[in-house]
Amino acid sequence: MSNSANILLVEDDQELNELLTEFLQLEGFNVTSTFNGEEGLKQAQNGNFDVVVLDIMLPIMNGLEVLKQLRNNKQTPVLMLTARGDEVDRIVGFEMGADDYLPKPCNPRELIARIKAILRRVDMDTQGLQNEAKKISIQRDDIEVNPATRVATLNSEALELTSTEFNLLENLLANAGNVLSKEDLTETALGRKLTMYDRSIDMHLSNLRRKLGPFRDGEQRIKTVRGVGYLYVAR
Amino acid sequence: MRSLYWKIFVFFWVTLIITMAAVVTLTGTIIENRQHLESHQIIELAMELTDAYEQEGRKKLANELRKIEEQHGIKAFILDQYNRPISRVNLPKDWLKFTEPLTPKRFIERTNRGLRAYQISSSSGTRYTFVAYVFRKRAYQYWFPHLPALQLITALIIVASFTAFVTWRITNPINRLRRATNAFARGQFDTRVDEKVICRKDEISQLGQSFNNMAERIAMLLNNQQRLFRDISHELRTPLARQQIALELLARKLSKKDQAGIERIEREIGRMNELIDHVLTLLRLEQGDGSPASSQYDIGELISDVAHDASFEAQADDKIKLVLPTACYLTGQPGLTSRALENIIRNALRYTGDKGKVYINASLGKECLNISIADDGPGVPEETLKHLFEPFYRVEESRNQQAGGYGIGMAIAEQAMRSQGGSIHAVNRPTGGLEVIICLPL
Repeated sequence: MSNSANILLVEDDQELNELLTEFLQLEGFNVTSTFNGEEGLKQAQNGNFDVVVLDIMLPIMNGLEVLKQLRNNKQTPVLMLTARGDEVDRIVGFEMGADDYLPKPCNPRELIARIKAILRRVDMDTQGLQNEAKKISIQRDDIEVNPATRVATLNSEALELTSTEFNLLENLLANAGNVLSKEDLTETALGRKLTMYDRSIDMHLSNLRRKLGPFRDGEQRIKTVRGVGYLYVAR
Repeated sequence: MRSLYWKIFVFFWVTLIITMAAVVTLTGTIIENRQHLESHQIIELAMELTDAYEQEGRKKLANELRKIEEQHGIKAFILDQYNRPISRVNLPKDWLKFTEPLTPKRFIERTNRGLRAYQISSSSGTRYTFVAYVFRKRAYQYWFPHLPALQLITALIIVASFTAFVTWRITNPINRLRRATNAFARGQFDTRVDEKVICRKDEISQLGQSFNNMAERIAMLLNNQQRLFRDISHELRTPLARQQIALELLARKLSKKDQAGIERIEREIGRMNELIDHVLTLLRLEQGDGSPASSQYDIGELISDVAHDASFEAQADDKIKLVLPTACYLTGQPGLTSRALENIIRNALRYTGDKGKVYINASLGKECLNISIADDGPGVPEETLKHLFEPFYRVEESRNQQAGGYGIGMAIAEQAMRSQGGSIHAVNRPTGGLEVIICLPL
């Protein structure tokens, strides 16, 4: 992983944008900054960025809309800056395929840590792609997960999963019948440490649950083990 | 003219008049029936019978006699002008007695047997004696002795129904008004008295209108205040966000020995951020918008997660004692519930002292799930218990020196419960310490 990653910053506040740009550059990133959603979307679709840092409240086109349109043709990782504690934005953002979120105003060091976590994960994924031979696809019940192509199917129909959800599913299936702790899942799927009051892994999991649906007999595929973590039911 | 005064006035008049009219008519009908109908009807029947006999003969008469017995409950026989019975139908053994002249003694005897004899002439002018025994009592005969009771009941029914109607007309809008006032007092500031009350155009509707005007005004004032609060909080955030980054940039340029000061400023920014968060959360909850749709969640799991995080935050392992139900699913907003619990548990951990513990006990009640969070701290003065959930309320005496009162966390907890239909209250434990009890609807 290199620190000279390309970052697209979409933030409408002029001064904050300048400060963030300076800060990210100081951290060794190449930063392209834009001030509104439309411009940001154009840049994101045309450029080749490693991470998009996207504010939710944007003039012309809001962050969620940008994310939605971007996901139509690109899988560039997106880190969303949401209003603090705004559950609705957070949940909607995850559903649309944001890779992580950070409430604003945020601790800049936390921002760097999250960006690095995403980069690290993308790195791992690409390595995974390169080592195709090592990774064999996992099949269990009616689900098939192919880490090489990063395609998951349910009943031979492709599932629309975000990269985090895919990682989660892959992890759970590979360890079916065993409980995986939230700490481990956060590290493998989100590429960072679990922090206090951090419910993002639960949110990603509930999205995944919804997309997979229960077994044919109605039993939940992914079970919560209170105080420990999650488990994919082996049968 | 449509004022309540006139409505009640007119109502009493109308009720009185209708009642009187009804009672008079009823009495009249019953008395009239008793006086005339019996003899009149019997004589008419007798005339018809004799005519039938003269035109169609004895057999027809016998049939007719049987018919009136069945239809009218009258047993009758007829003697011709020579006092001979025409038909054997209904003929008593002592029929001869009816041919004898009527003495007072005989009259009493006959009346006692329910018998009456009538001298009648047919259309051809022939004279007959018609003797009738009325064995089935007519309805009016039955009712006559009960006439006073009947009058009373009629009057009562009419007055009762009218009164019920007018009382309903008056109390119904008053009840609506009361419900609206209560709802308003509970904090539903969008409550208005509905059209049904307003369109009456009397004193009550005027009161309703006044209530609506008042509600409108209060809601507007509250709204303005909340908007001001929200705008200030939002506006404070942007400079804070910039400050945070500027500070971080500055920190990189400063030497190691200045870092302590930087960290201090950072902590303070963090506190301000948190406070703004809380104010905005409280405002959002009070306005009741922006809350995500209800979902089903395992409350036990949620409590243990929050407790785990809180004890981790306070670096206090083994401080929290949990008693949880197994697999208890609630429908509501897990985000709000966890925020409420988080705030209460944090407070409990803060006040329970170094040696104290925090006891979290969740149990199933009849209609709700009760969660109790108790600490071993000093508790609060009894009279301040109910103020605990007011924003920035500070408990005087011992508590405020420690950590600055309860701030806004308890207010958020209360709103979070309220918006899910739950409730929250605090009591001092008999053994010392504060106990906060949450009730979440099942």
